[in-house]
Amino acid sequence: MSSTGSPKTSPSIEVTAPIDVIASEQELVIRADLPGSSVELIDVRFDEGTLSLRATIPPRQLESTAYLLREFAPTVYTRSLEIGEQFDLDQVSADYESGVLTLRLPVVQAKKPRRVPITGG
Amino acid sequence: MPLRDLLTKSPKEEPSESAVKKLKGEMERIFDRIVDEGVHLHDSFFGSTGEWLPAVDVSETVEEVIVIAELPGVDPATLDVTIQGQTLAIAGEKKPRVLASEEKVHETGCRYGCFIRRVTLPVDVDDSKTDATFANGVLTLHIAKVVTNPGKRIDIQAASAPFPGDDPLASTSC
Repeated sequence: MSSTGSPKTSPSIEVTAPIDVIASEQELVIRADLPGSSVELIDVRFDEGTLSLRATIPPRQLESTAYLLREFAPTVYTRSLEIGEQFDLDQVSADYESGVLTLRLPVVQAKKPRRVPITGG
Repeated sequence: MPLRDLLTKSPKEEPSESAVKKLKGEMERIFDRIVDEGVHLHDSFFGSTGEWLPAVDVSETVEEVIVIAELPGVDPATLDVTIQGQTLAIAGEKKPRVLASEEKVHETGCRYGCFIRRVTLPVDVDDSKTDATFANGVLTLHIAKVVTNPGKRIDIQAASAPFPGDDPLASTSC
């Protein structure tokens, strides 16, 4: 048995990405387990208050691999979340490290109400 | 929350909506793998312990056994990989982020906690010839197989003279 041969062509399965969502007054943090992906294969979009995530996990071995136990398949992780419009999308940060994507969405800080001084006689 | 935490709740205690959603997600993941890949459940779910079980692939070539484990968010420096006989064990912990007092959790779909994943290797391996890499939350182990001695062929010399009583003209068959 050998692992040489043409690249794997088996189709990907689509799976809902497991995520953690943590909120504070300052920001919303979304963390997704996406093992085996890469920065180039992850797509995050915001559209009308909805965050959409799509990450591809490519094949890790060749088509001719002699598997004894197989629990992984080429996967496309997807997730869609309605998060609203209260975030500063220009300040969103995204970091992919050790197979975990972390998104930080800062909350737009509402301007404090200002008292208008009234002058008069 | 591990699946077993859901199963050990008393009948009167209703699981939360997020726990049910998580259980549904886990079941979908398991069935996806069964349908698409023909997963061997007995290998996947027994003989391993912990709060979660990393998914693994095990394959082999002529020279080596290859084990690939999904470990997103696990610090590779904390991993403990051991080989004893034909059993490989991958142990570690995925630590959850410590929350600040003002932070509120809205959803927890990622898995955390300690794990031990054991895999039975198909042959004896040479644990001194193991290569381990960790990239993007995936651990890849290349473990050399023990090279077995194929045995030495012994040449048989023909006797210089026939045995007494042998007919040198008789044909042989086998």
